[in-house]
Amino acid sequence: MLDYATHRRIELFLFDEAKLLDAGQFEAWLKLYEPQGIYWIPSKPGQTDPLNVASIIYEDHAILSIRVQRLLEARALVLTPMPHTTHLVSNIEVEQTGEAAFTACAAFISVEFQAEKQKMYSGRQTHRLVSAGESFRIASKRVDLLNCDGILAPMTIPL
Amino acid sequence: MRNNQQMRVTIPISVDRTLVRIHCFRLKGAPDAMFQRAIRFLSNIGSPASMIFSDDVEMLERCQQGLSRDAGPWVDFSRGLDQDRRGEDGSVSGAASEMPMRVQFQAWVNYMTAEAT
Repeated sequence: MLDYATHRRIELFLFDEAKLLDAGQFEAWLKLYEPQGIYWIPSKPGQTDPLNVASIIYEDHAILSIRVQRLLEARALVLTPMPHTTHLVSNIEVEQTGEAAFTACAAFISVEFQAEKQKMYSGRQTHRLVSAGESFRIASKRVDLLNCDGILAPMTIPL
Repeated sequence: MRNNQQMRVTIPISVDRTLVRIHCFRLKGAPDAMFQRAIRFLSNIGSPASMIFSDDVEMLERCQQGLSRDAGPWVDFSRGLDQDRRGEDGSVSGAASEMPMRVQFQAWVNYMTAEAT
């Protein structure tokens, strides 16, 4: 069983990530990722293959940085007016998977507000984290959206 | 290399609801890497969170909202009208022209007004 202090540090790291997204600090959000980091939202429950099965998002650092630029420019129609979010992260369970590697599973809810319309996303997220000094970096983040195989309206702010 | 192995299908459900599905197809006999690249490309250009497709859907929705109001009963497809020119092998227009829309609706009118055979 993981010691409480490490568990708590990882919880706080996940809360920081949520806070950066809610504050619109997308560049700082991207800095949490390893240069080889992957952000993945599968399109099917329990999807194991991101290569031969389509995903809602399967992006490496290069594409994510384009996504971040787009969010910061806020010129895209779907970002007009800019949506705002509240990301909640809960039920966090951390497992140590290597000397400096951890897997954190959590439930999440993200509420998004834009132009008098409110949308809600929820599901489970899995972070593979590596230690980086006093903090961590994201090697991969997988978001299993509750309605990933349902009909979805345009999605904007990362979950 | 282009990765145009996707097909978007627009399905009208009711007067104010439209479903858009995107499919990826595998080219018979082509290497796996080609299909995997097409899958990756599909996510980038055609998923609900795509940086391209999400704006297309948003535009569709906002056109629908606009048309549901009394003001401005027209959808304006005039952009690029003054740049259209007809070459020997067909029409040519600028990248931001709405000529494809004009041509598509003209074709629709032609089909709808053609004499039944």
